[in-house]
Amino acid sequence: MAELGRGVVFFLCAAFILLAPGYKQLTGSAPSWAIRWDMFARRGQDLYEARFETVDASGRRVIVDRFETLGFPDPQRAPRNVRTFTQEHEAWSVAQSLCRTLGHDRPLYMFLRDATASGWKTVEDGTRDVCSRRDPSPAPTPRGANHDEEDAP
Amino acid sequence: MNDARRTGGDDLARLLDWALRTEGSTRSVALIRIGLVLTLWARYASDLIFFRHLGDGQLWFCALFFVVTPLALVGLWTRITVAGSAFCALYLVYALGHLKGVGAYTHHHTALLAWSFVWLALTPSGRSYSADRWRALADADRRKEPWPEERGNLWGMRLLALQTASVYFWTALSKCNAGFLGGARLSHYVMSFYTGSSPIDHGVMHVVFMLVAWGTVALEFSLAFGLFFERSRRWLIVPGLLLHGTFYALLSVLTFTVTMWVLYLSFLDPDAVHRFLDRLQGRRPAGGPDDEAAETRRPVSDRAS
Repeated sequence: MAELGRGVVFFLCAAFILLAPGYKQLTGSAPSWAIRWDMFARRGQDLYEARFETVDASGRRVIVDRFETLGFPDPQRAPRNVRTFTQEHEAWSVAQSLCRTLGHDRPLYMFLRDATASGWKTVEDGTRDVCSRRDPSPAPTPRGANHDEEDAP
Repeated sequence: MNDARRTGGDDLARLLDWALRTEGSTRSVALIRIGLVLTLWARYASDLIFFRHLGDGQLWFCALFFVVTPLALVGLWTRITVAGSAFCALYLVYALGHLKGVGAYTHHHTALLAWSFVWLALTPSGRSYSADRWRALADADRRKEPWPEERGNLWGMRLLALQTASVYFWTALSKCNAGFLGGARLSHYVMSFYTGSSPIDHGVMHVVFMLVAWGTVALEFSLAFGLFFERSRRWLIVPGLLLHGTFYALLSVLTFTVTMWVLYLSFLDPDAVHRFLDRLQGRRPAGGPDDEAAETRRPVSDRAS
């Protein structure tokens, strides 16, 4: 009888251990307290990757080091919004600063990608001069508004 | 057909024996108990110091935590105090974390710790390395009886093993998507923790990220199943331990690493762990210990009467 009780408890617990995480992970609709083992599933999805280029005297594309150009030779000591873009408008803001520093007669091309759950999503492909861009840069949105909040393990 | 039926029946019997009837040394679960309580303290104790909770109505909980968890650590009234520790760990995650909004308590590492305590509470983890053990020896001496064996039914340890495997399985499954297997998600982690928005997911590094992503998923799936079998376990334990050590050194996983390390004990043959500890302490088992251990490790139903 004791073994029967132990068996019932064991298999209920085992079913919970093995199946409960699936409910949240497969349906995505379970409440926040539901157990799940998807560590770092949202980590880094608030990031943008940015690379800037201009042209040299011979018309060849060259990379612009945003840190050097803006007076932060050590990237680790650069302000957070220069080092890490968590909003698209932060990248545009740095682009505008680079335009001012380089001089508006020099073109600036920006390659901007948004980190998403499915990989990279291209926002700017570096084909146009962003210094001559006429439409306003995206309005700031509250941090985390367009992505899930960061999840620690 | 009959053979097939017998094989299926044998498999079921083996599963039931493994799950419900395995008796073995309680040293492994005692070590798990000590490891989990110390991990619980490392994660929460400083948050629960009384002066931090003068006005929030949680003083009773702080008092409970600081009473039951040290008792569980030293193994006094272990079945009760480990159950009390499990309550504390669940309360921290679900009452303070989810209900009262302490976000830091709602993460994977805290949930794993809490549920591990629940499964630990189903094992006689106080029969080794504990004040309960010391009391049992003193009691036996008083009655001039042989010392009780450090043995018990280890079905709770099986649940700890299943818990560990479930973590591996579901975390590996959650990575089976183009974003992770293409290497992009790993580059997001590196950028998030280290490099900021400068491009790193290009050229050779893109290939490295992709290979590491596939390797991680392959290892996690292997750990989910392979740790149960002795033949594969011997090849997986060190990579598994290194995987968690790497996570700790490179990412922000807090107590997750040490919790998983402790839980690896649930996969090891408890009698082998017992013999290993004996040997480590310079004790040679006397009188054919291997045979004795093998006999008592077998399910009760299989033993000669």
